[in-house]
Amino acid sequence: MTGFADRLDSFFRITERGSDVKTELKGGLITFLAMFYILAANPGIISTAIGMEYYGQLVAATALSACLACILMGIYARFPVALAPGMGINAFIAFTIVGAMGFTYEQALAAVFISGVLFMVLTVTGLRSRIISSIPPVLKFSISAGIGFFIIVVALFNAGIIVHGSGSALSMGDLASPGVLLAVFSIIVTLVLWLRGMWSAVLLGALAAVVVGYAGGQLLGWDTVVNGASLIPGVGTASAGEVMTLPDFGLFGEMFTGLTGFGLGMLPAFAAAILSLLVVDVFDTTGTLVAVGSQAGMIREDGTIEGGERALQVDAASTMVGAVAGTTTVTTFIESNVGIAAGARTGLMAVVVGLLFGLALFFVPVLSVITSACIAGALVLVGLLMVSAMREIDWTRLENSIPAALTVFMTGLSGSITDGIAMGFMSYVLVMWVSGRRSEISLTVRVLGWVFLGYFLLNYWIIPRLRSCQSGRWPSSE
Amino acid sequence: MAAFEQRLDSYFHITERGSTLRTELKAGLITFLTMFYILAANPSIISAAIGPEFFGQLVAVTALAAIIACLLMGLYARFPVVLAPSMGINSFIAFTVVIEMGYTYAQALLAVLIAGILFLGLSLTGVRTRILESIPIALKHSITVGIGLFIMVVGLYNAGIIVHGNGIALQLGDLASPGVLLAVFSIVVTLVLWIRGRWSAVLVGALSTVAIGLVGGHYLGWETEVNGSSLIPGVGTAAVEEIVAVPDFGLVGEVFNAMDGFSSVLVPSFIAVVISLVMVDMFDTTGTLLAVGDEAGILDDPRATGSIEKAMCADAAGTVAGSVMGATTVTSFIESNVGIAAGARTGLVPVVVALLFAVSLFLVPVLSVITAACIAGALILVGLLMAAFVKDIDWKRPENAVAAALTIFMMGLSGSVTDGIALGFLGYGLAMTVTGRYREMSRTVRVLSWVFLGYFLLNYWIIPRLR
Repeated sequence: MTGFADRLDSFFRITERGSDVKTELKGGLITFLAMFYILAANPGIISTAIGMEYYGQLVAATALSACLACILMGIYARFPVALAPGMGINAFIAFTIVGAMGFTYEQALAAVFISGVLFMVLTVTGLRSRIISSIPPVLKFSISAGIGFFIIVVALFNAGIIVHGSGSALSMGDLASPGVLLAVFSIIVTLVLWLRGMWSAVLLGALAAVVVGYAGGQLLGWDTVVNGASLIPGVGTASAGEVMTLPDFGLFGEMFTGLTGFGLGMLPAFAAAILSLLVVDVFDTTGTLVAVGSQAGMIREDGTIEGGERALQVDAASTMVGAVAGTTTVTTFIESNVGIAAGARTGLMAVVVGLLFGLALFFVPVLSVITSACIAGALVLVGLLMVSAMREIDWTRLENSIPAALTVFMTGLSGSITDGIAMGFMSYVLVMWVSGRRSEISLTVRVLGWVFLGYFLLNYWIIPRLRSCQSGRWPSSE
Repeated sequence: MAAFEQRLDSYFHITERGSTLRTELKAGLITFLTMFYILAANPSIISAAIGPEFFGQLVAVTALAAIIACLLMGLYARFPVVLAPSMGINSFIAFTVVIEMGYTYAQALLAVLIAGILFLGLSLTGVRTRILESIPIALKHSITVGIGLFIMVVGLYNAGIIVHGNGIALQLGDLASPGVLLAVFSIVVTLVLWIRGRWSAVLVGALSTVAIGLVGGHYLGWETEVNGSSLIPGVGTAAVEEIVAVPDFGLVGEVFNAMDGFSSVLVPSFIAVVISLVMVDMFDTTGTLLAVGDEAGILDDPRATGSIEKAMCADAAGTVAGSVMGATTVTSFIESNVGIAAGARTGLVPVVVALLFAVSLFLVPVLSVITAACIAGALILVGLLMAAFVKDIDWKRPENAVAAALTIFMMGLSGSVTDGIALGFLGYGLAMTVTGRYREMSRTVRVLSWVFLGYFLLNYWIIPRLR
């Protein structure tokens, strides 16, 4: 057994990175707890577009793709980041590509696959690393801080602490309801343990909330539903109906039927969809890797990320695997930082998450007791740790402070990491330009500024227009 | 005329604070442009509770309350901040106090009046100053940054750039619609002019948008509605139907009808409402005055000592006078920072704004062309400038990081300045306590942490139960 532990250690370089096997296992477990909501969220979103009868198959496809992607990340890239089908991009596919543009789900999967291939090409040719290293430092730190803000918004919104305001953007939710109080409890427990220097803060914060919430739901009749999901473990949508289920891989390979019924006239719209998927995947992944890498202390002196190249290749390959398995773009999950906060530093953590996703294929009903209220503490803590990156920014200079504030705030407020990064880049170029320092902008940054302008044009002008001219051609596509 | 100018200068200390008469006038105008939306927003929120037939009367009392409060602030406190009936508090009064708890509007006004008198008492006895001085440095700057985020959220949401998401909190709106593009245009113009060092950035950004929007709406058929109001000048809700309207002061003195139908059973919930109003007014004002003072450099100016205290008193007196006029709680408007950004430093600004409110009493129909899209640039610029105060926060200490992040983000996300401050204090108190430094906090901070806990209990447990 010690022989095995030694080999694990030397393969993943656990001791070298200042961690130990136990910490990695714990980090993997807590990361899984923070992100397995995707097993319900991803099928929930996609099945609204293609039909509720596919829900079970979508769960299986989601878990399978996450399982394979995480194990690949751990073993090939040995990077402490977990992957699964991305939120946001799945809504884009379900509501825009399938819903509005009228493609079939199989065709959308083909688009996902092709964007994965292109992503791989960009990575292997080194274009991607040129992009990463060209990002000005001010934007790098703002992207990390912005993602932190993004996580805080997601956590608070899913836990019902903030809700859509009437006549205003957001307002405080019903803080008197047991579910929201449970989320507040999980946040306080996690923060208190963290401040006292306990690495298990994230795990204990989540488990304490599950136990208290389960007791309250069974014995005191607690019942709170937010955005259609129960916040109380064991109640409503979070009740464990059965313990085990067998996975249904019905969507596996569906992608290959996508090319039947594909007309030439659909080509422009199809190309637009692929480009959009590519940009989002590239920049969501870049943002996440930079954020995870800096949190884990894996950024080298020259600004590159240790193991970053291979991590990108795995991300691209995973997207292709996911498409074949029957789910939307697989991407790195920023929730990995919960594991980093718990001490994880190596690829073993990703392998653990992958194995847990493999197990989860059979235990989906039991896992559903862990509600958004329970993981609110973990997410808020990670968000807080990430927003501290703001201190690295030199706020006294206008050309820093304007792009930095825009990136940080817009990443949280636009609900899209890529949109936040895009606005940061465009404002950086604009600010440098009008303050007469055009020559200081590197070529890559200048090109990226235009690429992002094109991205906005594509997403907000061209794709919405394409849907209207297509609706005549495929009136019955839904 | 020159003599008059000199007297103005010496009364308001214009030259002494490094400003000029022209700058103050311009800043007054631009501040007014960013906040006169209250003339439409306040009546529409309150009339949702008491009936649309009161809309016209509510416009008149809103302007009247703003005029009195701004004059008090300018002439007595000589502080460059403007006031009007507060957003946020007005919805609390309309939706919670009147609709849910069942009070009449007159009774709600009585609660506002009593809260104003209590606030005035706290300000005069110096309790307010003690609270202000006890706020930890990290929290003070976080409040400024948080209000910056808050302003950005308001500016972006009202202009349709961010909208409620489908299953997520927020997302980008329809960036292809002419109204939202107009808002983006106003932001870009304002930012570009500002970076190039033009003080008129905010004014030019707003006015160029009005001009382009009017042309687009008239000749190109632009039309965009967000949250029920038009973003295009001259179209829909922003159309000009008549030039001049005569104000209707029917609600003045409504507060004196409060005793109709008031019984002693109502007393406990009435007290709860009053306390809640005092808290919100006090901390909204504190946050705003700190932020404005920070931005204008008045906080560090020894010659300006005492002007914040006077500003507090003016704010409280404004609420008292406003409630008699028939308006909900009057409070300092963070939009004042737009004027500061344009160079304003003295009490002449609120005086100018008061005069403009007086004129606008008759010109309400014309002003409606200035839509949320037109002032988006001004609000975003101010939000960005305030966000830069992040630099003064020491993030390395955990209690600061927790307090700062809670204050900044919760202020923007909860839609309430007071909730943000309260959460910041609670986070700070919690962090100090669990790291074993409860005793290191000053007594005022300790007391305030408990007060804020009570505030949350009151607002989210007790008041909802009392209804």
